[in-house]
This record gives sequence, structure tokens and C-alpha cells, in this order.
Amino acid sequence: MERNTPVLSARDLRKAFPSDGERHLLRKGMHPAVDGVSFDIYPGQTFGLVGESGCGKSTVAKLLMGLEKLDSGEVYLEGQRIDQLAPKKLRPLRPQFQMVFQDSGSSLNPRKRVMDILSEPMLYHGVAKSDTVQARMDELLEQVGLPREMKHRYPHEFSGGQRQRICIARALSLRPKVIVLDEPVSALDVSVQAQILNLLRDLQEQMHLTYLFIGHGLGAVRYISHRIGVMYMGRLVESGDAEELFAHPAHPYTRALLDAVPVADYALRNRPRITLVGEVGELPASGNGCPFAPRCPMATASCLEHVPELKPLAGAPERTVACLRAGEQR
Amino acid sequence: MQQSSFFVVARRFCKHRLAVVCLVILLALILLAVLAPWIAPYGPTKISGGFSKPPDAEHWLGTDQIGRDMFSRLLYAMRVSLLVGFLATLISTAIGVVLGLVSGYFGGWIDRVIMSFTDMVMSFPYILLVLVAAAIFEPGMWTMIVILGLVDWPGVARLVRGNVLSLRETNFCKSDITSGMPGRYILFSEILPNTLAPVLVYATSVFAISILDEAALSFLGMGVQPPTASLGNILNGAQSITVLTGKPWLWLPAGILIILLVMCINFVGDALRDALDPRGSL
Repeated sequence: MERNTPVLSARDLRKAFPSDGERHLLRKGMHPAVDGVSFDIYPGQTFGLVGESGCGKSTVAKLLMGLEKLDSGEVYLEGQRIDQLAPKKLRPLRPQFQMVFQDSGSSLNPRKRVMDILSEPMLYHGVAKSDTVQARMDELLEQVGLPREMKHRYPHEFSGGQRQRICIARALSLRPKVIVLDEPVSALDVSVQAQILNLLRDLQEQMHLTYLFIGHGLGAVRYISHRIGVMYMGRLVESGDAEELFAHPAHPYTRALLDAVPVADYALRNRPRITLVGEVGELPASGNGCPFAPRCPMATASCLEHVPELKPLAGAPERTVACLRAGEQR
Repeated sequence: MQQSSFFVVARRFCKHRLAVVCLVILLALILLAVLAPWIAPYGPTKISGGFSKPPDAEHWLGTDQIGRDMFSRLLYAMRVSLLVGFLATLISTAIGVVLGLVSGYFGGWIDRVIMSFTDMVMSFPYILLVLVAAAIFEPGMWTMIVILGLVDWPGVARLVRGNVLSLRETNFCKSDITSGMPGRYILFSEILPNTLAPVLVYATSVFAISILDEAALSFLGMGVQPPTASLGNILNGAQSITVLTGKPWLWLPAGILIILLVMCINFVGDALRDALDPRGSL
């Protein structure tokens, strides 16, 4: 794999939110949502981020986009640090990194027509002038597979899949280098999911786009991603090449995730699987062990003593795993 | 395009039969009030007949205690009441929208200061406030408009603030942020248009309440001063028991008009709320 400058880099992102449960006299207890996440995304590639609901993957997206303030950590856009920029300085850079949200219904202002939604940011940033903006909108709608006449309509006149196409068109309109896709297909029907995923893939090829794809559907993430990071309780527990990671999961949590995917083949119903017990959020009683240890079928006494670091896997330098017993046979 | 969305709203509004009837009545009454100088058979202060005469062909609704034509006075009174209601609503809505937008959008200490002030104004027994103000300043129509305008805004401010807070968290506002759009665009192009419909609906109820308040204050003698007629100070004449029991033409029409106006405005407001919801059925 060629090692050029990453388009988007996250360095040790940390963010904690006040938790409702524990309250002290003056200060609320803080619950870490994102706890030291780092990754690089290279041009033209897709980095997939998977994990259960509440593992902090959407918070990562918000931190990257500057929608939430980082507690600590760094975000780089093509080598330039952007997390410390004042809002005014950041604004001219914003067109370069765009975001598509999960809920397409609330992503579009119900009182605006598609043409207003698409044209206003382009005109503001000077991507298109008033005489070229109509042609540019037609082009965008064509690229996302919608008839150009639809620009006269209001968002509620569209289906969920069509709305998501409009959101993608809006993200594309400013000619971004990278698009953060926060569960863009999770709210859609399976058949529509496939269409949107194909669209995203085609667009990536045509425009050499870079994606951060966040999802909990393993099929979708595997289909679209070149590299994948698996998150558990705010930490990256494993990352690596998509096919490799799916073929030989090294972290027991990744294995459990893969084993949890229902298989249509009846003959495989009794295959050996790791089945998770317990709930997300149970920390080891000792307070500082591996966060997955309480649910991990492979956990040993040493797992409860310290948090395993994300280390390259022996024999596969592109893979990193945060597990003491990584790579052992199940 | 603009027109087609207007038609959509109009069509949805027409589904509420009662509201359509109310709107027609309301428009008719407003027309009567506006055209009062041309319709009224007599001047509002002109003494044209005997004292407290019951209705006849010359004076359709009779005459008041000093011989003025009741029908003419009612028309002019409606003018005054509607004007007070409308201007008071305009002032309070404007104040409420501005304070609500600022409070909700900027948050932090600005929000806390504005909202504390709002709660303060809200918790004050404002009839008392208006009475005191009317006592200090010269009571009259303009004083009353300003006073009502200055006390009716907290509801609007809270409504707008709440809307801004929830709209600020919507994905379309967030995608404006991620698109690098400036704050004024988000505030005036995304948030404000989405709060106007509920504000308009709320304003109709403020309008109705303002008319009631005007009537109450004028009834107490602290509002519009005679000889200018208002619906409230016409009712004032009904304080004596003989008038109340024996001469209903002196107070019944004014009372019915107040009820009609307030009721119609409220029904129209209700229908408007349904009609303006962009997610509603076509």
C-alpha cells in the first residue's frame, strides 16, 4: 500500500460526556465516549468504523467535523491541523470535508426546495456563480441518480432513499475531498441500502473521493470499506485491511461481531461461534483492565490488570489489535 | 412556486369548515370596522336621538344614555379594539421573536439573563402592572397599546427560544455548520422560517387576548377614554343593574362582538396551525 499523506487523520481523540448516573457534590461523573482513537484515511480509500450502538463511533464523526469540542487529541486535514482553528478560520476549509447524516428526514429543511438546499452553500462558497448554479445542480442530481426536475420539490415529497441521495448531492456540491458518512444507510430498507452503497462506490471511483464510513451493519461496512476499524466502548480494538480483518479477525470482539451476523445457510447453524453475554458498559471490577474483559470468553487474569494497547499484529504490520491474546486460536 | 405553496396552505385551511366560517365573519367584521366612517349612519359622538331609546328603524341598535347611535358607536368601537389588539400583538411578537432568537441561539449567560427577565415579566400580575402604568401615564389608547405590547411577549419569547433550541440540533442546521455556512444564514434562513408558523399561530391567540385585555381595562375605566368608543368602555355603561336588566341593547351587542371576535380569531389560529405544518397531508 502506498504511503502518501492521509487526507484525514485522527490522533488520540478523547471526549467525555457528563454521565447521569454518578453525581458528586459539585462535579458530575464523566463518562468517556471516545477514549484515545487514532486512524489515518488515505486518498481514494474508505475507512470503515464499526461497533455496537453507543460505542462512540458517531461521536468520532462529530469530533472530526468540529460539531463537538475535543477534550484532547488532534485532527489533521491533508496534514493541516484543524481542530484548534477558530470557527472563522475553519469555515473556508469546511467545503473540503463534508458529512452525511443517518437520518435523512431531519437533514433537509422542510421549508426549502431541493434547489435552495443545494444552491445556497455553493453560492456562498463561490463554488458556482448565479449563472452556472442551475447547470451544476442538474449535474449533481444526475450524479446521484435523481431526475433534474426534482429540484423543484420539497423534501417531504421524497422517499428515504431519495432524500439520502439529496444529502449526498449536497455533500458533493462543494467538491469535497473527504466525506464522513455517519450510518448513511442504517435507516433504509435493505434493497435501498444496496443502491446507496453502489452509488457511493461509483462516486468514489469517479471523483477519487475519500470516505469515513460509519456503520453497524457489517455487510455494508465490508462492502464499501478498504480498511476497517472496530470500536468497543470508545476505543479502537482492532484495525486493518477489510478483507483480512473479516477473514481472520484477531480480536475476540471482532470475532463475536462476525459470529453474530445471521447466516442464511441452514447447514452452518451449528458452526462454532463466540456468543457475547452481558451488556456494553460493564467495566472490569478492577477498574483498569481491558474494557471487553467482562464479556470476553478468552479473558484471563492478566486481562483484568491493564488496558491492552493497540499494537501491530505479529506477521501483519498493517493490522493492529488491542488484545493480549490476539491471534490465538479460538 | 411561492404561489403553489400558498395554495397548499389555503387548501388545508379550507378543510376546517368552522375556521372558514370564522374567517369570513372575522373579515366581514374587520371590513365593517375599517369602513366605519362610510357605513355608520351617524358620527360616533354625535347626539342624534333620545336617551337610551330601544332599537327602531332610525337607530338600529338604539341609542345610549346620552342619545348617541349605538350602531355607529359599535362600528367605531370595533375599530379601536381591533387596532389596539393588532398593534399590541405586533409589538409583543416583535419583542418576543427577537429575544427568543437571541436567547436560544447564543445560549450561555445571554440566555440566562433573558430567560430570567422573561420569567420575571411573566410572573408579574400584569393587570396590576397595566393599572399602575395607566395611572402614572395618561390612560388612553396609545398608552394601552404600548403597555399591552410590553407585557404580552414572554410567551412568544419562550416559544421561539424552545424552537430555536430544538432546530439548532437538527441535522439540517448541523450540515450548515459542516458546510461552513455563517451563523446569520443558519439563524435567518433555516431557523427563523421554521419558527414563523408557530409564532403566527401564537400571535393569533395574543391578538384575541389583547382584545379581551383592552375590553377589561376600558371596562375598568383605565383604557380607552370616553368619548372615544371601544368595546370595553361601551360595556362600562352596563355597570348599573337597571341597564343590565332593562336595556340590553346598551351592552349585549358589544358583548357579543367581543365573544365573536375572540372566538373567531382563536378558531382561525387553530386551523392555521394545521395548515402551516409542512409535514401535514396535502
